Amino acid sequence: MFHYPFDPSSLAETARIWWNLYGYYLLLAIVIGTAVMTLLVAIPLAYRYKPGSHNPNAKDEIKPGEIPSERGRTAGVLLIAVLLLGVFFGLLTQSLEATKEFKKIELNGEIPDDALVIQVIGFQWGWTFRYPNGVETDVLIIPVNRMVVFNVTSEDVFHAFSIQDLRVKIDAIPGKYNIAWTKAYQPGIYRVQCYELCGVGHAEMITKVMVVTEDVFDFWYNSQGATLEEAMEEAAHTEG
Amino acid sequence: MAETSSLKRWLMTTNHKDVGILYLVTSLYFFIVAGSLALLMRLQLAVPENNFLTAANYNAAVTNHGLLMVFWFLSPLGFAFANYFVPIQIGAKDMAFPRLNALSYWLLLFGGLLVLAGFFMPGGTADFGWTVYAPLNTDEFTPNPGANLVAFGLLMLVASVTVGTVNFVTTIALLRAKGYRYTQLPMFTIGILITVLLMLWAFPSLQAGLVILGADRLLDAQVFSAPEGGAILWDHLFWFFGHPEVYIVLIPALGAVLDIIPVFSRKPLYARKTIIISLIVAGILSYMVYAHHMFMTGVPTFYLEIHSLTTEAISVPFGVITILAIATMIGGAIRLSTPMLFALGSIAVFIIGGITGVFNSSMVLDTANRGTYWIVGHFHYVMVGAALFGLFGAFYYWFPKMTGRMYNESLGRLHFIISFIGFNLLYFPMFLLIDMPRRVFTYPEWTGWGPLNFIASVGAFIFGLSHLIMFANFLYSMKKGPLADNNPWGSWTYEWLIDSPPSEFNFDGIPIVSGNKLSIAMANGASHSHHEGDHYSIWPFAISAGPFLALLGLGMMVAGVSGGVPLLALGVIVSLVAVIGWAREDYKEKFHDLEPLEVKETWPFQGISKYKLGMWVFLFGDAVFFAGLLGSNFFVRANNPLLPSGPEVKNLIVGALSTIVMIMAALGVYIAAKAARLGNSRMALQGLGMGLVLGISFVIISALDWIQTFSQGFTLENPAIATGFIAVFSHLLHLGAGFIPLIYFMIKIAAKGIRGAMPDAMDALSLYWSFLALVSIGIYAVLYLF
Ligand code: HEM
Ligand SMILES: [Cu+2]
Ligand SMILES: [Cu+2]
Repeated sequence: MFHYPFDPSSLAETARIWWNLYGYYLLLAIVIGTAVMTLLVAIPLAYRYKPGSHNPNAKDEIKPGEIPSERGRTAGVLLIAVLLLGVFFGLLTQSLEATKEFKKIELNGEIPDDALVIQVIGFQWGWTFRYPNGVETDVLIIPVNRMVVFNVTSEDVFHAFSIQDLRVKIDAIPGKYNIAWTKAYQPGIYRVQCYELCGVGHAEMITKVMVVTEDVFDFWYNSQGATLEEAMEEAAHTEG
Repeated sequence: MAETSSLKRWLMTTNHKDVGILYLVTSLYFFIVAGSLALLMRLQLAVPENNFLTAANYNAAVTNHGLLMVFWFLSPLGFAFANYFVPIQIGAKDMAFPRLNALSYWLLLFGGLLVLAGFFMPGGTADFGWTVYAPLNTDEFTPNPGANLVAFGLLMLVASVTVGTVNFVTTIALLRAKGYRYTQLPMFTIGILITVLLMLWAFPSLQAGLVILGADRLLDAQVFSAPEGGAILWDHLFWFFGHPEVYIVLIPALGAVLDIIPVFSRKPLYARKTIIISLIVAGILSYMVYAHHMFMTGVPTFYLEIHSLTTEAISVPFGVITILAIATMIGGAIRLSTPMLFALGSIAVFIIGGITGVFNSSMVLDTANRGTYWIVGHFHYVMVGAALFGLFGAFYYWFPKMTGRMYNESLGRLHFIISFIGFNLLYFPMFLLIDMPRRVFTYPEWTGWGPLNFIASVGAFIFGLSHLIMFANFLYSMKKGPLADNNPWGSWTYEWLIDSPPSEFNFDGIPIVSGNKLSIAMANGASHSHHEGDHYSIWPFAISAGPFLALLGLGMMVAGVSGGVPLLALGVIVSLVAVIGWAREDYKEKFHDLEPLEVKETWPFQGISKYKLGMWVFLFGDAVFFAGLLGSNFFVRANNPLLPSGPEVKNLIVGALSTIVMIMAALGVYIAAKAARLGNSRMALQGLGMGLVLGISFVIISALDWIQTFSQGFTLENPAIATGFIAVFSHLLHLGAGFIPLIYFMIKIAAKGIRGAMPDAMDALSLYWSFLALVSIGIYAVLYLF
C-alpha cells in the first residue's frame, strides 16, 4: 500500500529542500568523518610501542610525579579551529538558506491565497483533518502541485504531526496552533504518524495521506463528504 | 579502618574512597536494572507487530530505562571515580565536607529506590518518557500513582546533586596541594570541576519544573495542563536543564579519556590549554543551545534560529578537542591496553555521535530527525558510546589502584572488542531507521523496519551480555588477580604516587607541588591527629532514609495503598531525629580534629572559609531555582493576559511589610555573625534572637496574606496563583531550614560560648539569610508589583 519511491526528493517541495540540504551535510560528514577516523586508526598503528625505538628518558616523556609539559603549536591549533569553523560556517549558510524556504510561512507571517489550509487536530489517539468547507476526515486527502498548509493543534496532550516521506513535521500542542506546509509532486499514499510519545496509544496513532490529482481532489472536495473512492468513481463517470 | 565487610563501615562511612565505592556499586546495580529494561524493549521491537510487551509496559520500560541510565548509572559512575580520585588527584586527604559527601550518596541511592518502588504501585509507574512532557505528565493524563514516586525520586536526586556540587567545588577550590594551579590539574579533575559547575546551574531548572509538577499532580494546580503555554513552559524548564545534562554525563568520561590517551602514548596532551578552553566554551554555550530540542514546537523562529546557530557553533570546541586528542598520539609509543582501547573506542563513536548532532542542529534537517530512531542513534552514540566506553576505560585504568590487583588483560580486550561490535550493530541501524518514530512499542510490518530492528536487537544482546565479561574479570581479579604495582601504567598524577589501594588518608605526608613536580613532603610528627572510628556517622544515612520513608508513605497514601500513613509518620520522625543527631555531632565537635592542618592552595579564594565558599556555591544554584519559579509565573501570565496581575490579587502594603520584616531578620543574623567574629557572645545571641523572632513574624504575615488570597476565591487552578504560591512556599521552606542552624547556634553559644570555626559557619548562615531576603524582594517585585 505505502510504496517508497526511487527518488525521495521528487515527492514534494519540502522533501526536495530537505534532501538537498541533507546532501551537503552528508558529504561533509563522510569526508570529515572518514578523515578523522582514518587518523584515529592509523596513528596508533603507526606509532605502536616498540621496545627498541622508545626512549623513556625523552624530554616530553610522561614521568611519575611530573606534570607533563605544555605541547603543541598555536598555529596548528588555530588551523584546526579555523578549518572547523569554515566547515560549520559553510553548512550554516546552507542551512539558513534552506530554513528561509522551509519556514517561509512563519517567517513571512502570511499564507498564500491559493493555498489549501487544513486544520489538523491531534487527540489520544488519532487525527482529525478539517477542510475549509467544513468536511472532517480521519484520512488526509490533498492535491498535487498545490501548496497545502497544515494548521496543527491538539485537544489533549502533546503530539507531533508528521508526514515523514514528504518531510513535514510539527508539534501538535494543546492551546497552540502551529503551521507546517508542503507541496506534493506525485500522487501516492504516504504514512501520517505521531512522533511524540502521547500515551499508550502512541504507536497506533497512524493514518495515511492520499495525494491525488487536482481533478480528483476537486471532485472529492465539492462532493462534501463523500469518500475518496466515491469521488474517484464520480470523476471517472463524468469524464467517461 | 573497620573490616571491609562490616555493615557499620558501609552505612556510616564518610571517607571519600568508601563513598566512591558505594557510588560505583550502586551505579553498576542500576546499570543492570536499566539494561534489563532495554533488553526487554529490544525483544519487543525485534520483529514487527510483536506482542511480548504491552504498550503500557513498553512505555514504562522506556521511561524508567532513560531515567535510570542517565541519572542513576552514567552520572553516578563518573562520580564514583570523582569521589575516589579527585581528592587524591588534587592532593587532599578527603573532601571538604565528608559528611555531606556521604549524604549525597544516600540521597542518590534512596532516590533511585523510590523510582524503582514506582514499579510496585498499583496503577503503574511513570510512562511518559524520560523527558516527562507536559501535559501528559499531569495526573489528568497519567494518573499512575507510581509516577509520583518517580517525581519524588528525581527530587531526591536533585538534592543529592546539589550537595555534591557544593562539595566538589569547595574541595577543588580550597584543598589543592600547595602550589597546584588549576591548569596543571589532571584533565579528569578539570572535567569534574566543569561538570559540577554545569550541574549547579542546570539542575535547579529541573527542580523548579518538578516542584510545579508536584503541585499539579498532588495539589490540583493546573500549570502544565494550562492550554496557554503550559506544555511549552515544561519544555523550557526541562531543556534548559536537559541540554547541559547531556554534557554533564559526557565530560567526566571525556576527562578520563584525555588522561588515559597521553599515558598510553607516553606523550603529553597536545595543546592542553586549548582543550581546557574548549571545554569551558562548550560548557558556557551549552546553556544557549537548548531550544534545539524544541525546533518543532512552533516557538518564535528567530529564537530557534539563534539556538540552531549556537548548536552548530558548539561542535567547534568538541571537534577541536577530538582532533587534539588524536594529535596527542603522534610520535608516541602507543600501548593498546584495555583502558587505551576503550578510550580510543570512546573517541571513535563520539565522532559519529557528534557529526550526527550537527545534522540535528539544522532546523530543516531536524524536521525529519526529530522524534525518530535517528535521534536515538545520535544520543546513544554520545551517551553510551562516548560516555560509557570512556568510563569503562577509566574503570580498567583505575582498577589496580582501587584493588591493588591487576585484572586479566586478555579478557579486558575481549570485552572491548565484543562490546564495540555489539554497540555498532545495536545503534548504527538506528541512523537508517530515520523514518521510524521513537518510543513506539511496535510497528506495522509494511513499514519495512523489521530487518534493521532485528539487527539492532541482536546487537543489543551482544552488547549487553559482553559486560558480563567485565564483571567476571573484576570479581575474580579483585580477590585472585596478580598484585599490581603502585604505578603499573607509568602515570604522572598523584593517585599513582601512593599505595594501591590507598591508605585511609591517602598520603603519609603533605602533598606539595613545586613547579611541575608533584611531591609528598614528610611531615614532622603526626599529620592527622584522628583516632579510629572517628569519621563514622550514621546521620547522612538517616537524613536520607527519613525523606525516603516519608515520600514512599506519601506516594502510597495517594495511591490508596494501606500502610502509607504510618510510613509517612515514621519517615517524618526519622528525619527529625536525624537532623537532631547530625546537629549533636557538631555540637560535640566530633569532626573537629579532622580539619586539615596543612597549608593548601586556595587561589583565588584566599582567606575564605570552606563554609562561606560552599554557601556561595549553593546560593548560586539556588538562585536559578527561584529564577525558574518566578520566571514560570512570568511566563504563564505572559501567555494568558486574562490571569490577574499582582495588585489585583495582593495587598501591596502587606507585601511590603513582610519584605521589610524579612530584610530585618537577615540583618539580625548579619549582626550575629559580625558579633561572633568579634567574640561578643551576648550580641551574637541578640542578633540570632532578632533573626528568629522576625523570621517567625515573616512566616505568620505570609501565611495570613495567602489565607487572604485564597479567601478571595483564588485557587491553585489559576496558574498565576499556583506558580506564585509555589515560589512563596519554597521560600518559606528555605526559611524553615534556616531556623535549624540558627537555633543550633543559639543553644551552642549560650552553653559553650563562641569557639572554633563558629564565626566562619555563622558567616555562611548570614549569607543564606541575606539571600532569602533578596528572594523575598524578588517575590515582592514579581508577585505583588507586577
Ligand atoms: C557536537 C555535539 C552535539 C550536537 C551538535 C548535538 C545536537 C543535538 C540536537 C540538535 C538534538 C535535538 C534533536 C531532536 O531532538 O530533534 C540532540 C539531541 C540529543 N542529544 Fe545531542 N548533540 C551533540 C552532542 C551530544 C552529546 C555529547 C550528548 C550526550 C552525552 C548528546 C545527547 C543528546 C540527547 C540525549 C538528545 C535527545 C534528547 C531527547 O530528546 O531525548 N548530544 N543533540
Ligand atoms: Cu503520539
Ligand atoms: Cu541538546
